[in-house]
Amino acid sequence: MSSELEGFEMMKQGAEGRLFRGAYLGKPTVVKERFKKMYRHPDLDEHLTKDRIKAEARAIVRSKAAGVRTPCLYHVDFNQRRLYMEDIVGSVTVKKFIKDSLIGCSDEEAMVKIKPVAYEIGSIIGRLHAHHIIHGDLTTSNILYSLSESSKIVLTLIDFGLSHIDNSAEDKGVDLYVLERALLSTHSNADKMFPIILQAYKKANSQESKTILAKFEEVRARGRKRTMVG
Amino acid sequence: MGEVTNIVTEKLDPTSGLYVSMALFRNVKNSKVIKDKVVSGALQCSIIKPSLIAHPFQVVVAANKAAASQVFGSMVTKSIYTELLFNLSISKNISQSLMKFGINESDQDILVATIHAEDASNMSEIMVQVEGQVVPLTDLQNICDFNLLRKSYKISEDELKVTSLLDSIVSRIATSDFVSH
Ligand SMILES: Nc1ncnc2c1ncn2[C@@H]1O[C@H](COP(=O)(O)OP(=O)(O)O)[C@@H](O)[C@H]1O
Ligand SMILES: [Mg+2]
Repeated sequence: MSSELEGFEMMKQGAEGRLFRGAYLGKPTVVKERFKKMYRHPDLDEHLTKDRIKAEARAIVRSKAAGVRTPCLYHVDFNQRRLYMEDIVGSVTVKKFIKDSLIGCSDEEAMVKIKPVAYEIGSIIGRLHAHHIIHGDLTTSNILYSLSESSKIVLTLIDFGLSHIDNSAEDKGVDLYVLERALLSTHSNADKMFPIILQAYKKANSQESKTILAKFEEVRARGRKRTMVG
Repeated sequence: MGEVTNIVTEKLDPTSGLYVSMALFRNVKNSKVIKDKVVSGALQCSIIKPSLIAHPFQVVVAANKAAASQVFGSMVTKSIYTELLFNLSISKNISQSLMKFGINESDQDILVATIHAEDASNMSEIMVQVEGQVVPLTDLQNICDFNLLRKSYKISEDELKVTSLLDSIVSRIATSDFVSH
Protein backbone atom coordinates (compact mmCIF):
# COMPACT_ATOMS: atom_id res chain seq x y z
CA MET A 1 0.00 0.00 0.00
CA SER A 2 1.44 3.34 -1.05
CA SER A 3 -0.44 6.59 -1.49
CA GLU A 4 0.63 9.57 -3.52
CA LEU A 5 2.28 12.36 -1.57
CA GLU A 6 -0.42 14.96 -2.00
CA GLY A 7 0.92 18.45 -2.56
CA PHE A 8 4.57 17.33 -2.54
CA GLU A 9 7.06 18.10 -5.26
CA MET A 10 9.77 15.67 -6.33
CA MET A 11 13.29 16.93 -5.53
CA LYS A 12 15.45 14.07 -6.65
CA GLN A 13 15.23 10.62 -8.11
CA GLY A 14 18.21 8.49 -7.15
CA ALA A 15 19.21 4.86 -7.42
CA GLU A 16 17.78 3.91 -4.03
CA GLY A 17 14.68 6.06 -3.97
CA ARG A 18 13.06 9.43 -4.40
CA LEU A 19 13.00 12.63 -2.36
CA PHE A 20 10.00 14.93 -2.11
CA ARG A 21 9.47 18.34 -0.59
CA GLY A 22 6.18 19.64 0.82
CA ALA A 23 4.15 20.30 3.98
CA TYR A 24 3.41 17.62 6.57
CA LEU A 25 1.78 18.16 9.96
CA GLY A 26 2.06 21.84 9.13
CA LYS A 27 5.86 21.82 8.72
CA PRO A 28 8.16 22.16 5.69
CA THR A 29 9.13 18.53 5.18
CA VAL A 30 11.44 16.37 3.09
CA VAL A 31 10.24 12.82 2.45
CA LYS A 32 12.76 10.15 1.59
CA GLU A 33 11.02 7.19 -0.03
CA ARG A 34 12.82 3.99 -0.88
CA PHE A 35 12.00 1.96 -4.00
CA LYS A 36 10.68 -1.56 -3.92
CA LYS A 37 13.28 -3.81 -5.50
CA MET A 38 11.36 -6.06 -7.83
CA TYR A 39 14.25 -8.51 -8.28
CA ARG A 40 14.11 -9.41 -4.59
CA HIS A 41 11.58 -11.64 -2.90
CA PRO A 42 8.91 -9.25 -1.50
CA ASP A 43 9.36 -10.44 2.12
CA LEU A 44 13.14 -10.13 1.95
CA ASP A 45 12.85 -6.74 0.28
CA GLU A 46 10.47 -5.50 2.97
CA HIS A 47 12.80 -6.75 5.68
CA LEU A 48 15.96 -5.20 4.19
CA THR A 49 14.25 -1.89 3.45
CA LYS A 50 12.86 -1.73 6.99
CA ASP A 51 16.36 -2.33 8.37
CA ARG A 52 17.86 0.45 6.24
CA ILE A 53 15.17 2.93 7.25
CA LYS A 54 15.68 1.99 10.90
CA ALA A 55 19.45 2.43 10.59
CA GLU A 56 19.03 5.83 8.96
CA ALA A 57 16.50 7.08 11.54
CA ARG A 58 18.52 5.68 14.43
CA ALA A 59 21.71 7.42 13.26
CA ILE A 60 19.83 10.71 12.85
CA VAL A 61 18.60 10.53 16.46
CA ARG A 62 21.93 9.26 17.86
CA SER A 63 23.82 12.04 16.08
CA LYS A 64 21.71 14.65 17.86
CA ALA A 65 22.63 13.05 21.18
CA ALA A 66 26.28 13.25 20.08
CA GLY A 67 25.87 17.00 19.51
CA VAL A 68 25.71 16.84 15.72
CA ARG A 69 22.88 18.67 14.04
CA THR A 70 20.58 16.49 11.89
CA PRO A 71 17.06 17.07 10.55
CA CYS A 72 14.22 16.64 13.03
CA LEU A 73 12.27 13.42 12.37
CA TYR A 74 8.51 13.79 12.06
CA HIS A 75 7.37 10.29 11.12
CA VAL A 76 8.68 6.90 10.04
CA ASP A 77 6.40 4.90 7.76
CA PHE A 78 7.70 1.39 7.10
CA ASN A 79 4.55 0.47 5.17
CA GLN A 80 5.19 3.12 2.56
CA ARG A 81 9.00 2.99 2.99
CA ARG A 82 9.16 6.66 3.92
CA LEU A 83 11.09 8.86 6.31
CA TYR A 84 9.50 12.27 7.00
CA MET A 85 12.00 14.85 8.19
CA GLU A 86 12.52 18.56 8.69
CA ASP A 87 13.32 20.46 5.51
CA ILE A 88 16.46 22.45 6.29
CA VAL A 89 15.05 25.60 4.74
CA GLY A 90 17.57 28.01 3.25
CA SER A 91 20.37 25.46 3.17
CA VAL A 92 22.67 24.46 0.32
CA THR A 93 24.92 21.42 0.17
CA VAL A 94 28.53 22.03 1.23
CA LYS A 95 29.40 21.00 -2.33
CA LYS A 96 27.38 23.91 -3.71
CA PHE A 97 28.70 26.24 -1.02
CA ILE A 98 32.30 25.47 -1.98
CA LYS A 99 31.62 25.85 -5.72
CA ASP A 100 29.76 29.14 -5.18
CA SER A 101 32.53 30.45 -2.93
CA LEU A 102 34.96 30.10 -5.82
CA ILE A 103 32.96 32.19 -8.23
CA GLY A 104 34.51 35.57 -8.88
CA CYS A 105 37.20 35.44 -6.22
CA SER A 106 40.78 34.42 -5.87
CA ASP A 107 41.84 31.14 -4.28
CA GLU A 108 42.90 33.06 -1.17
CA GLU A 109 39.57 34.82 -0.87
CA ALA A 110 37.75 31.53 -1.37
CA MET A 111 39.83 29.90 1.35
CA VAL A 112 38.88 32.62 3.83
CA LYS A 113 35.23 31.71 3.26
CA ILE A 114 35.78 27.98 3.26
CA LYS A 115 38.16 27.63 6.23
CA PRO A 116 35.56 28.01 9.01
CA VAL A 117 33.34 25.52 7.23
CA ALA A 118 36.24 23.05 7.04
CA TYR A 119 36.83 23.45 10.76
CA GLU A 120 33.17 22.82 11.50
CA ILE A 121 33.14 19.72 9.28
CA GLY A 122 36.06 18.28 11.25
CA SER A 123 34.33 19.01 14.54
CA ILE A 124 31.08 17.30 13.65
CA ILE A 125 32.78 14.20 12.22
CA GLY A 126 34.93 14.02 15.36
CA ARG A 127 31.86 14.16 17.61
CA LEU A 128 30.11 11.57 15.48
CA HIS A 129 33.02 9.17 15.67
CA ALA A 130 33.57 9.76 19.38
CA HIS A 131 30.05 8.32 19.76
CA HIS A 132 30.87 5.45 17.39
CA ILE A 133 28.51 6.59 14.66
CA ILE A 134 29.90 5.74 11.23
CA HIS A 135 28.24 7.83 8.54
CA GLY A 136 29.12 5.55 5.62
CA ASP A 137 28.73 8.14 2.84
CA LEU A 138 30.51 11.32 3.88
CA THR A 139 30.34 13.34 0.70
CA THR A 140 30.01 17.12 0.38
CA SER A 141 26.42 16.61 -0.87
CA ASN A 142 25.49 15.00 2.42
CA ILE A 143 26.39 18.00 4.57
CA LEU A 144 24.08 21.00 4.41
CA TYR A 145 25.33 24.54 4.96
CA SER A 146 23.15 27.35 6.32
CA LEU A 147 23.47 30.45 8.47
CA SER A 148 21.75 30.94 11.81
CA GLU A 149 19.82 34.11 12.67
CA SER A 150 23.02 35.45 14.22
CA SER A 151 24.93 34.58 10.99
CA LYS A 152 26.77 31.65 12.51
CA ILE A 153 27.67 28.73 10.27
CA VAL A 154 25.31 25.80 10.82
CA LEU A 155 26.10 22.42 9.31
CA THR A 156 23.43 19.72 9.21
CA LEU A 157 24.43 16.16 8.46
CA ILE A 158 22.05 14.12 6.28
CA ASP A 159 21.79 10.88 4.28
CA PHE A 160 22.55 8.24 6.90
CA GLY A 161 21.31 5.47 4.60
CA LEU A 162 24.65 3.63 4.84
CA SER A 163 25.40 4.41 8.45
CA HIS A 164 25.95 2.05 11.34
CA ILE A 165 27.00 2.14 14.96
CA ASP A 166 30.46 0.61 15.40
CA ASN A 167 33.63 1.25 17.32
CA SER A 168 35.84 0.39 14.36
CA ALA A 169 38.94 2.49 13.67
CA GLU A 170 38.98 1.09 10.15
CA ASP A 171 35.39 2.25 9.41
CA LYS A 172 36.12 5.67 10.89
CA GLY A 173 39.28 5.91 8.79
CA VAL A 174 37.25 5.04 5.69
CA ASP A 175 34.71 7.77 6.57
CA LEU A 176 37.58 10.30 6.57
CA TYR A 177 39.01 8.90 3.35
CA VAL A 178 35.63 9.13 1.58
CA LEU A 179 35.39 12.75 2.74
CA GLU A 180 38.85 13.56 1.43
CA ARG A 181 38.05 12.03 -1.96
CA ALA A 182 34.75 13.91 -2.09
CA LEU A 183 36.52 17.19 -1.33
CA LEU A 184 39.17 16.59 -3.97
CA SER A 185 36.48 16.16 -6.59
CA THR A 186 34.63 19.27 -5.40
CA HIS A 187 37.40 21.79 -5.01
CA SER A 188 40.95 22.22 -6.25
CA ASN A 189 41.98 23.69 -2.89
CA ALA A 190 40.78 20.67 -0.96
CA ASP A 191 44.34 19.81 -0.04
CA LYS A 192 44.30 23.04 1.98
CA MET A 193 40.94 22.26 3.53
CA PHE A 194 41.70 18.79 4.71
CA PRO A 195 44.42 19.62 7.28
CA ILE A 196 41.97 22.05 8.89
CA ILE A 197 39.33 19.33 8.99
CA LEU A 198 41.79 16.93 10.61
CA GLN A 199 42.89 19.53 13.14
CA ALA A 200 39.28 20.03 14.28
CA TYR A 201 38.65 16.29 14.13
CA LYS A 202 41.55 15.60 16.51
CA LYS A 203 40.21 18.12 18.96
CA ALA A 204 36.66 16.71 18.91
CA ASN A 205 37.71 13.06 19.05
CA SER A 206 40.98 13.37 20.97
CA GLN A 207 40.86 9.96 22.63
CA GLU A 208 40.88 7.93 19.45
CA SER A 209 42.28 10.27 16.85
CA LYS A 210 45.77 8.74 16.81
CA THR A 211 44.55 5.23 15.98
CA ILE A 212 41.98 6.48 13.52
CA LEU A 213 44.39 8.77 11.68
CA ALA A 214 46.84 5.88 11.37
CA LYS A 215 44.03 3.80 9.86
CA PHE A 216 43.12 6.68 7.60
CA GLU A 217 46.72 6.84 6.29
CA GLU A 218 46.59 3.09 5.67
CA VAL A 219 43.30 3.28 3.78
CA ARG A 220 44.64 6.21 1.78
CA ALA A 221 47.84 4.33 0.86
CA ARG A 222 45.77 1.36 -0.28
CA GLY A 223 43.56 3.68 -2.31
CA ARG A 224 46.58 5.31 -3.93
CA LYS A 225 48.07 1.95 -4.83
CA ARG A 226 44.74 0.95 -6.35
CA THR A 227 44.58 4.11 -8.50
CA MET A 228 48.18 3.63 -9.66
CA VAL A 229 47.60 0.00 -10.62
CA GLY A 230 44.04 0.47 -11.93
CA MET B 1 -2.29 24.92 12.75
CA GLY B 2 -5.91 25.99 12.74
CA GLU B 3 -7.15 27.84 15.80
CA VAL B 4 -10.72 28.54 16.92
CA THR B 5 -11.42 29.81 20.44
CA ASN B 6 -8.38 28.20 22.03
CA ILE B 7 -8.76 24.89 20.18
CA VAL B 8 -5.79 24.02 17.99
CA THR B 9 -6.39 21.60 15.11
CA GLU B 10 -3.82 19.97 12.83
CA LYS B 11 -4.26 17.64 9.86
CA LEU B 12 -2.61 14.24 10.34
CA ASP B 13 -1.10 11.96 7.67
CA PRO B 14 -3.43 12.11 4.64
CA THR B 15 -3.48 8.28 4.52
CA SER B 16 -5.53 8.36 7.73
CA GLY B 17 -7.92 11.17 6.75
CA LEU B 18 -7.82 12.24 10.40
CA TYR B 19 -7.22 15.43 12.38
CA VAL B 20 -6.13 16.10 15.95
CA SER B 21 -7.65 18.88 18.07
CA MET B 22 -6.30 20.07 21.40
CA ALA B 23 -7.53 22.25 24.25
CA LEU B 24 -5.81 23.21 27.49
CA PHE B 25 -7.69 23.60 30.78
CA ARG B 26 -6.54 25.12 34.06
CA ASN B 27 -8.02 25.13 37.56
CA VAL B 28 -9.98 22.00 36.75
CA LYS B 29 -12.23 20.91 39.64
CA ASN B 30 -13.48 17.55 38.32
CA SER B 31 -10.38 15.79 37.01
CA LYS B 32 -11.40 12.50 38.65
CA VAL B 33 -14.81 12.51 36.94
CA ILE B 34 -13.22 13.30 33.57
CA LYS B 35 -10.58 10.66 33.99
CA ASP B 36 -13.17 8.02 34.92
CA LYS B 37 -15.26 8.89 31.87
CA VAL B 38 -12.22 8.61 29.59
CA VAL B 39 -11.20 5.27 31.10
CA SER B 40 -14.76 3.90 30.72
CA GLY B 41 -14.94 5.16 27.13
CA ALA B 42 -17.81 7.55 27.84
CA LEU B 43 -15.55 10.39 26.70
CA GLN B 44 -13.52 9.80 23.54
CA CYS B 45 -10.23 11.67 23.98
CA SER B 46 -6.73 11.52 25.49
CA ILE B 47 -6.18 13.49 28.66
CA ILE B 48 -2.55 14.47 28.98
CA LYS B 49 -0.40 15.89 31.74
CA PRO B 50 0.63 19.33 30.37
CA SER B 51 3.77 19.56 32.50
CA LEU B 52 5.24 16.96 30.11
CA ILE B 53 4.26 18.77 26.92
CA ALA B 54 6.70 21.34 25.52
CA HIS B 55 4.50 22.36 22.58
CA PRO B 56 1.27 21.20 20.85
CA PHE B 57 3.41 19.78 18.02
CA GLN B 58 4.67 17.11 20.42
CA VAL B 59 1.08 15.84 20.69
CA VAL B 60 0.55 16.19 16.92
CA VAL B 61 3.47 13.84 16.20
CA ALA B 62 2.28 11.27 18.76
CA ALA B 63 -1.30 11.48 17.42
CA ASN B 64 -0.04 11.09 13.86
CA LYS B 65 1.84 7.95 14.79
CA ALA B 66 -1.29 6.60 16.49
CA ALA B 67 -3.44 7.37 13.43
CA ALA B 68 -0.91 5.68 11.11
CA SER B 69 -0.77 2.62 13.38
CA GLN B 70 -4.56 2.41 13.25
CA VAL B 71 -4.57 2.57 9.43
CA PHE B 72 -1.96 -0.18 9.15
CA GLY B 73 -3.34 -2.31 12.00
CA SER B 74 -0.22 -2.06 14.13
CA MET B 75 -1.55 -0.43 17.32
CA VAL B 76 -0.11 -1.91 20.51
CA THR B 77 -2.76 -0.53 22.90
CA LYS B 78 -6.52 -0.86 22.86
CA SER B 79 -7.63 2.48 21.45
CA ILE B 80 -6.25 5.35 19.40
CA TYR B 81 -6.38 7.47 22.58
CA THR B 82 -4.28 5.16 24.71
CA GLU B 83 -2.02 4.76 21.68
CA LEU B 84 -1.48 8.54 21.58
CA LEU B 85 -0.52 8.59 25.28
CA PHE B 86 1.75 5.59 24.85
CA ASN B 87 3.42 7.23 21.83
CA LEU B 88 4.30 10.28 23.91
CA SER B 89 6.55 8.05 25.98
CA ILE B 90 9.91 6.63 24.92
CA SER B 91 9.44 3.71 27.31
CA LYS B 92 8.14 0.40 25.96
CA ASN B 93 6.19 -0.24 29.16
CA ILE B 94 2.55 0.52 28.30
CA SER B 95 0.96 0.87 31.75
CA GLN B 96 3.83 3.02 33.07
CA SER B 97 3.66 5.26 30.00
CA LEU B 98 -0.09 5.74 30.31
CA MET B 99 0.32 6.61 33.95
CA LYS B 100 3.18 9.00 33.36
CA PHE B 101 1.60 11.00 30.53
CA GLY B 102 -2.00 10.67 31.76
CA ILE B 103 -3.34 12.83 34.59
CA ASN B 104 -3.72 12.20 38.28
CA GLU B 105 -7.11 12.58 39.90
CA SER B 106 -5.93 15.65 41.77
CA ASP B 107 -4.36 17.44 38.77
CA GLN B 108 -5.76 20.86 37.99
CA ASP B 109 -4.13 21.37 34.59
CA ILE B 110 -5.22 19.04 31.82
CA LEU B 111 -4.57 18.90 28.09
CA VAL B 112 -7.31 17.24 26.03
CA ALA B 113 -6.65 15.78 22.57
CA THR B 114 -9.26 14.31 20.24
CA ILE B 115 -8.70 12.57 16.90
CA HIS B 116 -11.49 12.95 14.38
CA ALA B 117 -12.57 13.26 10.75
CA GLU B 118 -12.53 16.70 9.13
CA ASP B 119 -14.97 19.11 10.84
CA ALA B 120 -16.18 16.35 13.16
CA SER B 121 -14.41 17.16 16.42
CA ASN B 122 -16.17 16.18 19.64
CA MET B 123 -14.18 18.81 21.55
CA SER B 124 -17.18 21.03 22.31
CA GLU B 125 -18.94 18.05 23.92
CA ILE B 126 -15.88 17.51 26.13
CA MET B 127 -15.46 21.20 26.92
CA VAL B 128 -18.90 21.46 28.52
CA GLN B 129 -18.02 18.60 30.86
CA VAL B 130 -14.71 19.96 32.13
CA GLU B 131 -15.20 22.28 35.10
CA GLY B 132 -12.26 24.53 34.50
CA GLN B 133 -10.96 27.41 32.51
CA VAL B 134 -9.95 27.04 28.86
CA VAL B 135 -6.69 28.83 28.17
CA PRO B 136 -4.62 29.29 24.97
CA LEU B 137 -2.28 26.41 24.13
CA THR B 138 0.58 28.89 24.21
CA ASP B 139 0.23 28.68 28.02
CA LEU B 140 1.89 25.25 27.75
CA GLN B 141 5.23 27.03 27.82
CA ASN B 142 4.46 28.28 31.33
CA ILE B 143 3.17 24.92 32.58
CA CYS B 144 5.72 22.55 31.10
CA ASP B 145 8.55 21.41 33.34
CA PHE B 146 11.75 21.77 31.31
CA ASN B 147 13.91 19.65 33.62
CA LEU B 148 11.33 16.91 33.91
CA LEU B 149 11.01 16.84 30.12
CA ARG B 150 14.76 16.64 29.66
CA LYS B 151 14.97 13.79 32.12
CA SER B 152 11.94 11.93 30.76
CA TYR B 153 13.25 12.02 27.20
CA LYS B 154 16.89 11.56 28.23
CA ILE B 155 18.20 14.65 26.43
CA SER B 156 21.78 15.71 27.14
CA GLU B 157 23.17 19.23 27.28
CA ASP B 158 25.31 18.52 24.21
CA GLU B 159 22.18 17.73 22.27
CA LEU B 160 20.50 20.98 23.29
CA LYS B 161 23.45 22.89 21.81
CA VAL B 162 22.43 21.75 18.33
CA THR B 163 18.69 21.23 18.55
CA SER B 164 15.62 22.64 20.27
CA LEU B 165 14.03 20.66 23.10
CA LEU B 166 10.92 20.21 20.94
CA ASP B 167 12.86 18.83 17.95
CA SER B 168 14.72 16.40 20.19
CA ILE B 169 11.51 15.17 21.77
CA VAL B 170 9.67 14.83 18.47
CA SER B 171 12.52 12.88 16.83
CA ARG B 172 12.48 10.45 19.77
CA ILE B 173 8.70 10.00 19.61
CA ALA B 174 8.88 9.25 15.87
CA THR B 175 11.46 6.50 16.46
CA SER B 176 10.71 5.17 19.96
CA ASP B 177 9.59 1.73 18.75
CA PHE B 178 13.08 0.91 17.45
CA VAL B 179 15.56 3.35 19.05
CA SER B 180 16.44 2.98 22.72
CA HIS B 181 18.11 5.63 24.85
N1 LIG C 1 16.34 17.43 5.27
C1 LIG C 1 16.73 18.03 4.15
N2 LIG C 1 16.62 19.38 4.01
C2 LIG C 1 17.02 19.99 2.86
N3 LIG C 1 17.52 19.34 1.80
C3 LIG C 1 17.65 17.99 1.87
C4 LIG C 1 17.26 17.28 3.04
N4 LIG C 1 17.50 15.97 2.83
C5 LIG C 1 18.00 15.86 1.60
N5 LIG C 1 18.11 17.08 1.00
C6 LIG C 1 18.63 17.36 -0.36
O1 LIG C 1 18.41 16.21 -1.17
C7 LIG C 1 19.64 15.64 -1.60
C8 LIG C 1 19.57 14.13 -1.56
O2 LIG C 1 19.24 13.66 -0.26
P1 LIG C 1 20.02 12.42 0.39
O3 LIG C 1 19.41 12.12 1.71
O4 LIG C 1 21.48 12.71 0.37
O5 LIG C 1 19.62 11.23 -0.59
P2 LIG C 1 20.50 10.35 -1.63
O6 LIG C 1 20.62 9.02 -0.98
O7 LIG C 1 19.66 10.33 -2.87
O8 LIG C 1 21.82 11.04 -1.81
C9 LIG C 1 20.69 16.22 -0.65
O9 LIG C 1 21.97 16.26 -1.24
C10 LIG C 1 20.13 17.60 -0.35
O10 LIG C 1 20.44 18.49 -1.40
MG1 LIG D 1 23.15 11.96 -0.56
